[in-house]
Amino acid sequence: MTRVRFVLRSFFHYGRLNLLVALGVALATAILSGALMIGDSMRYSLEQITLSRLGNISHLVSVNDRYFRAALANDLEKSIARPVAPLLQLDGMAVSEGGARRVNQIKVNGVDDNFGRVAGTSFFDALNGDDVAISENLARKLEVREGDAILIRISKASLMPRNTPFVSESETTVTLRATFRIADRQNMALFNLQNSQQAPYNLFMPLDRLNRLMEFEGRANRLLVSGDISTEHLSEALGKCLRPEDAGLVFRSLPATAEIEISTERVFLEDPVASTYVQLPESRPLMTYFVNAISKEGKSVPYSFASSRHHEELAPDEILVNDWVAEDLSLSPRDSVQVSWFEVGPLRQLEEKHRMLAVKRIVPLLGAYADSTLMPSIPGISDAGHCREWEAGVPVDLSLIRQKDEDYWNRYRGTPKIFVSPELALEAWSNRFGNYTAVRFPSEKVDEEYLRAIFALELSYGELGFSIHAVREKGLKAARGGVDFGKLFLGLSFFLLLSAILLISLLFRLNLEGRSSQFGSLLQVGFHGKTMTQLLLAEALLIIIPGILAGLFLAWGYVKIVFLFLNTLWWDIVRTPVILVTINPGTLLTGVLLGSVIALVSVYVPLRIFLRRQVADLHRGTRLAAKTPWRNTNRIPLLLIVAAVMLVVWQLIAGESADPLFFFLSGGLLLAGLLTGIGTFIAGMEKYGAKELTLEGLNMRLIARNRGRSMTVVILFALATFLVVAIGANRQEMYGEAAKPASGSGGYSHFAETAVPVLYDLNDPQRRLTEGLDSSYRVVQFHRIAGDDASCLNLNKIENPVILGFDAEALRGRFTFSTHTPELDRSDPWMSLKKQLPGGLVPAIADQTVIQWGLMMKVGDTLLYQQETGDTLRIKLIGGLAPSIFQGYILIDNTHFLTNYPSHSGSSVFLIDPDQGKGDAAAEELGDLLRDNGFEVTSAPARLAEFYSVTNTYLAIFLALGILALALGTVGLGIVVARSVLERKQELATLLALGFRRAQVVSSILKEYAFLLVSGVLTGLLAAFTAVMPVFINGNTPVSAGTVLVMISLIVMNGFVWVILLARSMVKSHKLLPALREL
Amino acid sequence: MQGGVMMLLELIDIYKGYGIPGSRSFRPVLYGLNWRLDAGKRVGIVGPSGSGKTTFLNLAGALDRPDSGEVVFNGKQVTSFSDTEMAWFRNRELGFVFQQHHLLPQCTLWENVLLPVLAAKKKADVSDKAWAEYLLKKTGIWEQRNQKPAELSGGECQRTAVVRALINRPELLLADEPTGALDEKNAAILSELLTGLSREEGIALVTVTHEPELAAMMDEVYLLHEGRATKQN
Repeated sequence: MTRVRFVLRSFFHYGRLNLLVALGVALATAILSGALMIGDSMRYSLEQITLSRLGNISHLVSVNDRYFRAALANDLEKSIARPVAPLLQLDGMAVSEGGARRVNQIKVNGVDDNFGRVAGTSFFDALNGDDVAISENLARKLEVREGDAILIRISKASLMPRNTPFVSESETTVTLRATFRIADRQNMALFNLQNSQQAPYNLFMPLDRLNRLMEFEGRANRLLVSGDISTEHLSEALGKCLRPEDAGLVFRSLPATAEIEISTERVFLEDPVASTYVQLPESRPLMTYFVNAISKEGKSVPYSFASSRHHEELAPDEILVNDWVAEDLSLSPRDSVQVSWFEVGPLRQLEEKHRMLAVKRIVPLLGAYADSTLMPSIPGISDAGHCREWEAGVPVDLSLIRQKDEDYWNRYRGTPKIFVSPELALEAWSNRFGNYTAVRFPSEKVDEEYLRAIFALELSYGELGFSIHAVREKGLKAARGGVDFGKLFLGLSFFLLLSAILLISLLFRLNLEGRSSQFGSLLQVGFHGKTMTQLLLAEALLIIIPGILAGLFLAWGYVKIVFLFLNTLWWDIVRTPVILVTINPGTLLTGVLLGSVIALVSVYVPLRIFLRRQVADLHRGTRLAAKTPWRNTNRIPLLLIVAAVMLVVWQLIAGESADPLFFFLSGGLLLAGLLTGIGTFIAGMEKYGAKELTLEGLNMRLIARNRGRSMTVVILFALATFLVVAIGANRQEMYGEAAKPASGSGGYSHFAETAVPVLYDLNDPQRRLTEGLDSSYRVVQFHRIAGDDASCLNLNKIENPVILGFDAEALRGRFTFSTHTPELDRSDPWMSLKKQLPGGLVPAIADQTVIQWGLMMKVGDTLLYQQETGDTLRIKLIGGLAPSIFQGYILIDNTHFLTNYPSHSGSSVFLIDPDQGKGDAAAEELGDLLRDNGFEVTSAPARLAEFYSVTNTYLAIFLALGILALALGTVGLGIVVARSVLERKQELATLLALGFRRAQVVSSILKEYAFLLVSGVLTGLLAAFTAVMPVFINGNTPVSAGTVLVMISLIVMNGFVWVILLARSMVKSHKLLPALREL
Repeated sequence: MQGGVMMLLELIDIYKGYGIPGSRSFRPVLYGLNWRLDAGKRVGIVGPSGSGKTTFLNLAGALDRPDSGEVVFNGKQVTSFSDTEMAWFRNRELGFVFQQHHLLPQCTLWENVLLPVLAAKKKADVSDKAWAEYLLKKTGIWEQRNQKPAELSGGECQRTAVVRALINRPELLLADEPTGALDEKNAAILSELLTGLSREEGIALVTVTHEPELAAMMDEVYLLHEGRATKQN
């Protein structure tokens, strides 16, 4: 006989109990390793999605609302010696033939032969002529197959910002019908330049064809770079390759005036360009504007161009009129005339301005005063044959146009009729699109080559609206830094893990107690306590090692099951079918190590406590001298409970600035306090139970006798209840409150988006009249700057969410704020968005969920963006909204938005404020009007519910794992009851022999466990109620009381049913009476 | 009533076996056993191992039911009792002493003694306590009443078990090898105690025993053999 032999014999002799312990160890290892493997797999999947959506693309060069030469790709490729592909990417919508299926948000990608090179596929080599390819998901959504025809409507690209003053808003989309091929995952079906695991609906067509459809020639708005290159190197190369044409600049030689002019396709020269050229010597900046009327004493010249004169000595209130006007209005020098014009605001909101100006001089319609080239090229006006054909972006009353006006147009086109000082032009007509329409230079002093050199030297690509993104690096970083499913599942499995640990500990303790007299004998014959510990630990290792190995296999199964659910029931939180299981050896090792530590601690603690007993006690199997940790802790529960109460009171006094985290902390303290309190109480029950001899007293003593087991039951049920109540309280459900202004929908009935921006104000009464819209509802319109989806639907870590610009006044009194900085005025929070913060910071509001989870930031933090002119836009988060329909967005006021993105045109996001419940009718009416814009409307509560569904899915997982844990807890309870009955079978048999009825004995066992169950449930309930108190106080999220009640009842009933079933099956005379003869 | 002596217990044509009747595994223990006990009598049951002594005692003590036959106590057919009536019957009419004392380890000696009272009422009343005190003093373990079984000797525990068996003033005391786990001295003390109390309190005593000393103290001794009880001279 050796020690090893002894250990092995013991291991096999107590095989069944050891098997149970090993199963517990396997379970704990599976939970730990499984969670880590889920984390690895999700990270790996997101990385694979990133690689799939980008192909070989490493960098993206992009511009917003502008179009450069597609040939820039060739120039850049030559410069960096790496493949570069031009891309013209536009928004659009697709409709299956017959209109049965419609997808409102698709990406239309114009690609050339180079795209295949950067994508790493030859699929696009064959994309020529009228060919179209669509992604698998679009084909699925449209329910079409290769060879079917679809209707595609593409947002009409414009070389100038769509809301540029006087530019017509006609032709916002281009339509074509096409048959298509299907691009699968290997052929860029997932192509996406945003960091998201959700694939957009993609459509590919030859770049040339898309250019033709847009009436462009060789244009693109994206460059896709492939290969290993640093962003700095790319920046340098891009700066060198850019030409003025890429910024829409046009050089024109004007022999008539001996000048060379630099103007823009965008009508107004952007600030960085204008200021670069204006500051040059000999520059002659020009501003030519369309005025509504030049009037004097009832006479009026309608719709004319006015221009600034740089080289005239004109005071700001003086004007030069040509002799045509002078004659028409019978003007003489020093007469006063009124000049009227439209000031164009956001969404084409017009305000007519008037100014009285003194005629300084009447100039002949000759030479420099008869220069029709002063009129900028404005499609719809400058190309019109007659005034009556004008398609101006402002209302033109054609009835005011006289024959003489037509004659003037025919003869002199848009030759300005009046001239003002540069100061007046700047003050009156400068707008967010620019201050000048052109800059001229005397051609004898400046030539085009010089101006091009200035462009290359002075203007950075950022100032021209270009930006460079290391999409591959950032995408992989976002994939790795996103939601950590490993930690998430570890957190979600916490209760399950705890149950497994308690079960291991309980089973091992039962094993020890069953062999108590054996250990007593060993000690009696001279074994040292340390030797006993070593022997028992050696035996435990024989249990743990196979348990851990089995746990790794179980983990694999666990991961497969979780992923099966993530692909089906829990799809809401991943929203991608591309989930791949991967096994990382490091993770397996970590799982093994963590599993070992947990298992060893779980067996070592009961072992130490067990071996503290006196030899005689061990020998007799009694626990008289046992000291347990529950003793001498009378003050600890009290201290914990007092601390919890004080924390709650402090937070209640703090009112609105109370932090939910503190409530959760106090819930935790209360849970710990009550549990240790119950432990202490149970320890004292032996004494209380002895006061009077009653059956209840006997029960109390039985509970006290098995304190460890009793507390295991209490803890398991306390945690289960805590879990259920916390989940129930946090479950987001939609009730009638969705219509309230303070709710997450803001009281708006619908949320809508368009693929093609709406350029005008939908609340404008005149517009409503002409469009036949009902005037009883209001629409809040939002400008949108593209960015990453930062809602909970995106698993990646996001740095630059979509920015929405809007008039902050429109949202006054709506939604609820959960966090804020001092900059946010609590009484009127939305108006704080109009503030100018120190240091040029722009105040912003976002959904608190986005701030905390999407951005992993907090209020007060700053987000960095690139402005349209290349400078850094610093956005400070001053408020966090309670869960709302704005998930995924950063909200700033229009004043800041349009300052930083001046050429942005139109709104793409809308909220419908219904008139007395007529939200559906309003949505339908707008849907009809904006059908061609790709109007996609959802009810605001439904949108909120979609976000809630993510939270609720997480809670469902938590609950599912909690229920598993409860099942485990029930197994533990069953084992405790069965073991207890078995241990007490002689005692119970004696009771039966003494005349106690079976029902009395069963009821006595039931009462014993009823106390434990009810104590556990009440403890969990109180602690959970404290932890989630803010939910009850705020009342914004209705608590699903019914669900909580049902779940708690189920927990209690589950416990009682098992106790009753086990007790009834075991307390039977024929089973117990033989025990009376056992020695 | 027979010969002026009240008949307390009668086992009539008792058949009892273990296993499934008709199967090979079925083992008959008692077959056609007829036996009677008069009130106040002390009877010893002896027999070789496996002769069915404990089965006999279980049937006599309403701890088990016969496969056929009747158990009659004070004219009442115990075999027709429901489980609840059986429990009540055991509690009120019978007292048990086993080879092991089966005292509750969490209770003191005093509490163990009063335990059977709780089967019928919420708590022990004054008369129960006075009777317990009387019995404890009589058995010489009054001083140890506040100690727990683990703190008592085997003999003291077994005496406590005897007191517990008598606490409800039963008419019949059933003892299954009551001295089997005791040394000679303690066995003698317990034997004296059992017979003495039976005599003084007028309680009939049936004891299953291997001990000739104890058997010799009985009024009658029966040998259980081949499923039947035969009176020994």
